[in-house]
Amino acid sequence: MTKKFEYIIIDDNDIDIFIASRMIEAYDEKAVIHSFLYANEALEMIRKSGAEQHPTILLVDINMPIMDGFQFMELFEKFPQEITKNYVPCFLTSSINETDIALSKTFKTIKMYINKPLMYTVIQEIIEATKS
Amino acid sequence: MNEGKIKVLYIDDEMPNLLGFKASFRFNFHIFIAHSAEDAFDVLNKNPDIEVVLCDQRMPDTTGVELLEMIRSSHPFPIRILITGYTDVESIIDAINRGHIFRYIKKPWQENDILSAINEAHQYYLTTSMLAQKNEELKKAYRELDKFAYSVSHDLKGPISSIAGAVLLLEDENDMGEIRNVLRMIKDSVEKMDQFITSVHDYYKIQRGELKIEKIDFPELIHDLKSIYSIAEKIQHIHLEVKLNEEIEFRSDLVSIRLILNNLLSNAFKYQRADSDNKIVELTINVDKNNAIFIVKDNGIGIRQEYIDKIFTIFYRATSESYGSGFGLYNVHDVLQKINGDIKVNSTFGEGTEFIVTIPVKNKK
Repeated sequence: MTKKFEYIIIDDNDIDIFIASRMIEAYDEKAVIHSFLYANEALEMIRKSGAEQHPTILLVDINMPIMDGFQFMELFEKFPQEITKNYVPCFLTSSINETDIALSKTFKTIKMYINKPLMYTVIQEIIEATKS
Repeated sequence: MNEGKIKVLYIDDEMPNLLGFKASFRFNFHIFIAHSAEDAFDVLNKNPDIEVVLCDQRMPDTTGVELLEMIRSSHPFPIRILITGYTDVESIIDAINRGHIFRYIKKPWQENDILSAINEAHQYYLTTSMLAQKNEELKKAYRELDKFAYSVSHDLKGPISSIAGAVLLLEDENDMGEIRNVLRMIKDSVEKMDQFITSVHDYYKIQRGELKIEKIDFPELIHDLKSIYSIAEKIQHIHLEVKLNEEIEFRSDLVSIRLILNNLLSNAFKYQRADSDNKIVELTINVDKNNAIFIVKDNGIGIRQEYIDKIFTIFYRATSESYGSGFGLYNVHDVLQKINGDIKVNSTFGEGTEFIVTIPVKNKK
C-alpha cells in the first residue's frame, strides 16, 4: 500500500500556496495541507511536532523575504535525524537562476527541484521517488 | 598660474639640468622636479595627477630605464619619456621595450622636441586614462546587468508561473464562484508585473539619470499623488490625509522626490488590515531651514518587532545584490543615497508603520 503523506507548503505568495494546494487536492482529495507565508513559522511547527510527525512532503519556495528557502533548509538540516527522516523536502520555485540551482544541490536532504507551477503529476513523481 | 596646464615631472640627478628645464618650460607646463628615485616617488605619491614623466638615463643608483620601469608598476598612468645622451640603438630598443617608454629624446635636447613630445604624451595620457575610466564604468554596468537579470527572472517569472498555475486550475473548474476567485488572483499577478515594470523604469532613471535640481512644487505634487491614490481610496476605503508645512522653498530632484513618496505611499496602501474599518494613511511634509522631512504613516498590519532590524538588513542586502526584497524600497534607498537623504522606520505589529525620510536642505547650485 502507498504511504499517505501530509504536505507543508512554504511560500510568501498566497496565490502560489493556493495553486499548490489545489494541485495536491487534485492528486489526493483528503490531503492534510499546512501552509506558511513565513519559513520560520514552518520551522517552528516542525520543531514542535518532533519525531511524531506523519510522513510529510515539504514544498519550499526559494526567494522569500525575512528567511529564504536556503536559510530554511540550513536550519532544517540541523534538526536531529529522528525529526528530519519524516520529511521529503523539495524546492518549489520559479527561479531558473544557475546560482540558485547550484546552491539547491548542496542540501543533502533535498529530493527534487520543482519549477512552478506545481502539477499534480509531479506530486506522483515525488512519491515514486520516496520509494526508491 | 598653473591651472589647466599639463603636469610634468622631470627627473635628473644634476640640479643645473633640473633648474634649466624648469626655467625653459615653466610657462608651458606645471613642472615638478626630482633629483633622485626616492624624491621622484615622493612627488608622484603627493601628486597622483601628474600626467607626463621625463627621466634622464644617467642616474647614480639606477638607470633611467630601470627607474621608469619601477614607476610604471607603481604609477601606471603617467606617460614616460626618456632623455639620454647615448645614441646606442640597442639600449634605446631595450628601453622602449622594458619601460614602455612613449618617446625617446636625444641630449642635448631642442626645446621644440620637448614641447611636442610632452603634448603628444599628454594626448596619449588622456586617451588611456579615459579608457581606464570607461573600463571601470563598463565593469559596473556588467555587475548591474547581472543583478538585473536575476531580478527580472525572479520578479517577472514569479507572477507568470502563478498565472500559468491559475490557468491550469481553471481548465478543470466549473464553479463560477471559484472561477472568479482564480481570475482575481490572475489580476493580482498581472498588477504585480505591471508594478515591477514601473520599478524597473524608475531604477533605470535613477541609475542613468542626472539629478535635475529645481524648486519642488509640493501643492502640485500632492495633487498628483492624491489623484493616483483616489481609486484605491474609494475601492479599499482608505483615507489619505496630507499635511504640508513649507517654511522655505525646497530645491531637489523632482523625479527622486516623487519616487520616494510614491513607493512609501504604495506600501502604506498595500499593507492595510483587511478587517479594519478605519484605514488611514497620513503623509506629512515639513520643510524648515535645515531639512525636508516626509513622514508616511499607516495604521495597517505593521511589522513584527523582531523583524524590524532584519527588514533593514534585507533592505541593505538588496542594495548589494538585489535579492530577496522587492525593488520598491531598494529604489527609495538608492535615490536617498544620491540626494544625501536618510530613512528610518518605526512600526508596531498590528497597529501600523511609520517611515521617516530626512533630506538636508542645502543651497547647492
